[in-house]
Amino acid sequence: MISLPLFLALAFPQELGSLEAARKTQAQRTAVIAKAMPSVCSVMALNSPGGGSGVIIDPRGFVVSNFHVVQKRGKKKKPRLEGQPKPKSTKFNPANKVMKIGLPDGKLYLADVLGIDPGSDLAILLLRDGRDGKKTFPYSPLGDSDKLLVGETVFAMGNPFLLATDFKPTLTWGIVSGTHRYQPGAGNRMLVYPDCIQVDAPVNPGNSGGPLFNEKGEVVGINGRITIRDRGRVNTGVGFAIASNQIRNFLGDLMAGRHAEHGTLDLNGWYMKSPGESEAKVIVQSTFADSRASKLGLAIGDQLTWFNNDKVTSANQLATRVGVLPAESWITLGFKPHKENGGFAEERRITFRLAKLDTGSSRNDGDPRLAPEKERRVAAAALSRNVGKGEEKVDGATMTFTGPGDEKITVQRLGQKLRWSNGQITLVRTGIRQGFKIFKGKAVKVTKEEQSKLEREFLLNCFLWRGEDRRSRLKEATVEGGVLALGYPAIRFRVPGPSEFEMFFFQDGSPAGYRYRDQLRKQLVDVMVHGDDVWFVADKKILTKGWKAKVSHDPLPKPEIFARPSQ
Amino acid sequence: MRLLITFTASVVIAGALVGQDRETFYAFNDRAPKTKLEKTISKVLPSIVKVHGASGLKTIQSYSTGIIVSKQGHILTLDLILVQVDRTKIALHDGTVCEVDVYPAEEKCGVRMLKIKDDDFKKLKKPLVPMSISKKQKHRNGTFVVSLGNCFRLAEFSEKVSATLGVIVSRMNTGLRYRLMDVDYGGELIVTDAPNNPGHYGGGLFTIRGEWIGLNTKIVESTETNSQVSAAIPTSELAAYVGRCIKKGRAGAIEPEDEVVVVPVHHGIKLFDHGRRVSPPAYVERVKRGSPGRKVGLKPDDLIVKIDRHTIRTCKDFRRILKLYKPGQAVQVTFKRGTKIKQSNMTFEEVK
Repeated sequence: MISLPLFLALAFPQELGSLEAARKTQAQRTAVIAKAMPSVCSVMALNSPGGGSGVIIDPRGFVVSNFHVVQKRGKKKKPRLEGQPKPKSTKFNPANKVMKIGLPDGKLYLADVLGIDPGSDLAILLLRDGRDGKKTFPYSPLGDSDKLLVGETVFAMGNPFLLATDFKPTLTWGIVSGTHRYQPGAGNRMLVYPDCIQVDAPVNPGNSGGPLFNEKGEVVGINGRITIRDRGRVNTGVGFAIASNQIRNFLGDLMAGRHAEHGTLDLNGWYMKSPGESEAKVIVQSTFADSRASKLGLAIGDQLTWFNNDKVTSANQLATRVGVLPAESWITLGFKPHKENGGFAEERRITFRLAKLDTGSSRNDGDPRLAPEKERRVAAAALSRNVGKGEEKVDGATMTFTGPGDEKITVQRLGQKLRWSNGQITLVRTGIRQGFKIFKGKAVKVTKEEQSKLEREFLLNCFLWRGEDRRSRLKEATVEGGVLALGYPAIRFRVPGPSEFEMFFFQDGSPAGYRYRDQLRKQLVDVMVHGDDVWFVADKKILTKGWKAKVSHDPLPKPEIFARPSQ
Repeated sequence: MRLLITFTASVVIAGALVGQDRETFYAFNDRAPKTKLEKTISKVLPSIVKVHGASGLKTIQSYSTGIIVSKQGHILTLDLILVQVDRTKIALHDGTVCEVDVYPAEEKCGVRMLKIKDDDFKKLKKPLVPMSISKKQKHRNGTFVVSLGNCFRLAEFSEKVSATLGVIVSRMNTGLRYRLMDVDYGGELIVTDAPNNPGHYGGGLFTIRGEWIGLNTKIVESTETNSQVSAAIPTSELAAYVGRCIKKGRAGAIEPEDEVVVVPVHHGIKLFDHGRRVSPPAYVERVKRGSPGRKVGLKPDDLIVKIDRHTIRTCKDFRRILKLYKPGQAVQVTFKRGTKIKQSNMTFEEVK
């Protein structure tokens, strides 16, 4: 015999037995829901029926939703007679689309579609009131979807069937049924859900783009897809949500107003048992002859064994890991080359950048962000107009970093000379590949590493450059995507040259930071600046928290400080 | 003392190495379960296997789920078309694929026992985790249950099967059908609102505490309202079959014959039974001259509604109910002629 309060306790399965405890859990739950609810919104087109849901993830008014919510509905192609001229392509640019957003306060707001991810069904919108700084919005932060476990309680919110005309969202409750599910492409744009969360909370048409919350009220997924049965007659209790960690990977691109591009290994792998083998393996079935992996030695018939930090256990798992990564991300792939007479050789590991995946949607959209590389250069030149204004003639700069303690690092540049000092050690670059170290007041020979550090600082620290230099380098650059510099969207430019150098600029043309490949760490290091705050980020870990940075051109560093001290 | 310290250090290092070497089946490392439900699911998951077989035509699935019931490798699953003698394979939770022997089905409940073939069983690296049957069926309506199964074949190899949560809605056995077929199982089914989908069939229904109370059956529809519900066969009904199979092997799967002898009765009524999958209502087609039926006054096109207190919905019901009677016994037959309901007493005779 189980009593009613115990049912409640079981439903919210902290091990509770008493009525008070059950009430307490219920109060906690309602508090979380009340806090999360104001951030859930309805997303509708300006002048066509229907709509979906979305969630505000940032007080400045950034809304995450599904791509298929902001996408124009496909039209049937008219048959064309032979000899008839080609009709003008009806170009649709979801980038500049304006949507209506209804918030639970009952008001309608206008929002622009900022960035789209047609490959895995994501879109970011920016509320106009937030952009203009008129208002800050209630928001729900993104959670960590990798910490979800099967059986964990989750809430789905949204506006299914557009039930609520006052935009108060509908809440449904369920558990996580499965994690890391791979769902192949579906719909006319083949929207792939590479690493999604399966839930049994009822998800219906109109819930699309709505958030999936964990018990803490953090957004762990975006509900976008359901499995249907019997011609859609039945809600099967199988819904899929795009994992928040995948969203985070593309957030920089999307918030900066770019088109998110997915990476691909350019190969087909099957999980199969070859004759005579006891265990099934992931075997390469086909690959392009000029793909990056095959240039490094991968061939058809090889066994895939390692991806980034994990063993490859099945083809599905590999697809899940690759699908969430943006194009051009660095990966490590382990494989065992096959032998002529059967069996496999020793494992080899190769490191390379993922190629760009053609999502099939980039052909007909007429979106400048989907343009080929040549046009991207034009776009970069256009964006470079505001860069470095008023700093043209300044031939020197000082950049000071101050740490949370008394730590202080100064970098000064004048012409070809550079001085780096942290109080105890001072490094000076006097010309190309020439330098010395000042240690206890004496000039000492620099080591190879210290010299390379100087060169790197000289070549890559774009804050110390003249505005003219910055602009001219930008003209050679291509637009690669976006990045979040301390939470603020900036645009990423790839500059041809050493160290995979990339520069970040905010929309107004002020520098946001730069990225380079550190030879010692063997990682990409991001230097990001917003206002005074500065972060050095390597492998998503912030190396310098609480540090401040300041750039000044006035007064110019004096030429004496670059001189070798007299013995 | 120094020796002791060295010894301790080496133990610590060994421990760390063991920790690193632990098997991660699906390379994403899950966090440790915290709540009761999470703990239950992670405890139960190793007993669930994915069953793959023949078929795959249109709406007939080639995949379902099974539950390990013994350490010797017995697996209980629903008797579906896909479970065939030479094609059936199962995937354990760690991704190991095994071939299985197929035992004769238990026809009353529509379940079937599979056993991992000896060759494959010897190769297993880890002992199997069998589920023990909970014979207690005291759970009232409203008890929270979690249902585990590989719906829509979302999980493959070492991936985890889906878990859905719901409550026991009721226990019922009347008026249920599957597609156009009647549900053969005559006993009570546990009806839940935990989503049950193709592929979930054969999976387990568990309480929050981890007791195994039911085996998911196909989605059933109410004949009255056409609404669909998820249902499970109570494990108490399966205990005998499972026990026999584990004890006696293949021979145990065949049910010992019933000792109660059914003596056929003569009534002389032939019903209009067109023999389709759905048993039709018990309309009389013709009545033999001089038979008990003729003496009562039954005519073609009469609809038999009741025999004594037993309601007769279909021809199948009629045949089933007659098994309860012996020759010479008198019964009250209720039948409908036109718009009128009539009643009369009939005495069964011996079959000549």
